[in-house]
Amino acid sequence: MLELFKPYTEELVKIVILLALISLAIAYLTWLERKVIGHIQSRLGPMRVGWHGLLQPIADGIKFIIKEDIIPAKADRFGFILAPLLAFIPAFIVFALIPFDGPQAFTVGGKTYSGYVADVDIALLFVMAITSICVLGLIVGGWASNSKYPLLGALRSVAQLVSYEIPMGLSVMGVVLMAGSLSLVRIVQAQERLGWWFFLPQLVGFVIYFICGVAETNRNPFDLPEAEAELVGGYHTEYSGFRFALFFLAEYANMITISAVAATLFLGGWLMPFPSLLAPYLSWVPGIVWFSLKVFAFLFLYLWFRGTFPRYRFDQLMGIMWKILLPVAIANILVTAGVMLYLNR
Amino acid sequence: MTPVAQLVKKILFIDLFQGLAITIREMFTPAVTEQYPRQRSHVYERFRGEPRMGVDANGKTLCIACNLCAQVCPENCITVKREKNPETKKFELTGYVFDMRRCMFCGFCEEICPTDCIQLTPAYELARYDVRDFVLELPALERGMDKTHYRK
Repeated sequence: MLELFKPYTEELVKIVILLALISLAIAYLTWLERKVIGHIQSRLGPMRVGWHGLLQPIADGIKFIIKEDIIPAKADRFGFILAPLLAFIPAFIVFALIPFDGPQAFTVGGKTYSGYVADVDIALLFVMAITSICVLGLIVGGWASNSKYPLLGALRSVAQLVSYEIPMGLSVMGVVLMAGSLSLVRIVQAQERLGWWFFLPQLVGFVIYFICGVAETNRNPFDLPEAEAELVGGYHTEYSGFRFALFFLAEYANMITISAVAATLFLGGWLMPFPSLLAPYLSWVPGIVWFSLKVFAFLFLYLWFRGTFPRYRFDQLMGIMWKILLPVAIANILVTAGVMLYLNR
Repeated sequence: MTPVAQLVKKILFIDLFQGLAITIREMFTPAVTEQYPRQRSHVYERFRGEPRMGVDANGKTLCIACNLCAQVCPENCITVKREKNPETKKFELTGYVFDMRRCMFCGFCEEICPTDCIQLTPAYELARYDVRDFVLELPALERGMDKTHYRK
């Protein structure tokens, strides 16, 4: 049995490290969110558990584990148990394809290792496909709860899904046209060759991608399926204990995914900003640090949005996605394709 | 504003950026909340909190058993127990019960008291574990309620 896994030792070790780091990042993202939102509202956020509340995520985790796990009597048991897993597992699968660092990231014992688990030729397509499955978890959970608020949440989730997926898929096509590849690693390398990160020539695609990303992760101002004020908690109203925690973790993992993909596609992944200026001084900084900084910037933007914008109505959301973002995304593809054709004449 | 300018404003997300600017500015302003057990609330001198009965220099009560506080109390939470001394023809205090369960801290009793005996002090931590602890007798009123100590 062990022989079977031997060729994949490198990948397995990376997966284990990645799982631990991402889980830690998610835990402290919840802490960061409470802190940022607190300070925006002139509060302090968590202060009591540990220094400035630093142990709060651990306390929350313990609370989730020891809480009673309730399955409502009239719920569809199979769907109810399946839904949190359906939301949680795909959210973590995607990290296998995110290039945290370049192909020659670090050297251990004379052998050079890459900064990603796998470099797949259709990585971008795969990421788009898998992140969509997370939403399926919300829909199944809302339906299986057999209760009115989760059902309304699931309904909204479907309406949201059919709206944002198309402009989102189209918005990254400009990047694919410019890089000539769907592989995330090669997209970053294309940005290195070009000398510009794609967010400048693809500003429109970048903005559309991020707006759709916010909608995909169900964050403010597009948190319609949850909508605490209207739907009690939307799809996870009936969930408690660790099943709720899985939904919660999936939401934050998705935020990190969207941020990581945005950083890879538009902000040059592991590349250093202003290489001609900073390279003599900062070339010793590993690429993963730059990547983490970029991801952190996006995550902060998410929290900042939550502290600023009120929620859209769901017909407004569909209006924005179908009437504005979709035509603009198509126009963006046409213009990019035209320019690329002209340049490669 | 012309329609063209409005359209440009919409496309460039001017309103959204204004909102973001406000929230980021608020983020760096000091918090207005107080960290209660660690920081004490600021209480003004005339705050009406825990009731106390005053004593003179010899430790004798200032109360003259006039019963005015019991009469003025809108919630009837004060009971003055008194007996008429047949020699001096004056009332003498035999007991005083202040039922804090009903008290609404209006301060009428301290206003009407001719000897400034009963007072509502600024002490505000009045929560107790037992409802019987809210019925205060004369010794408790003179000593002050037993303090609940909150851990930091």
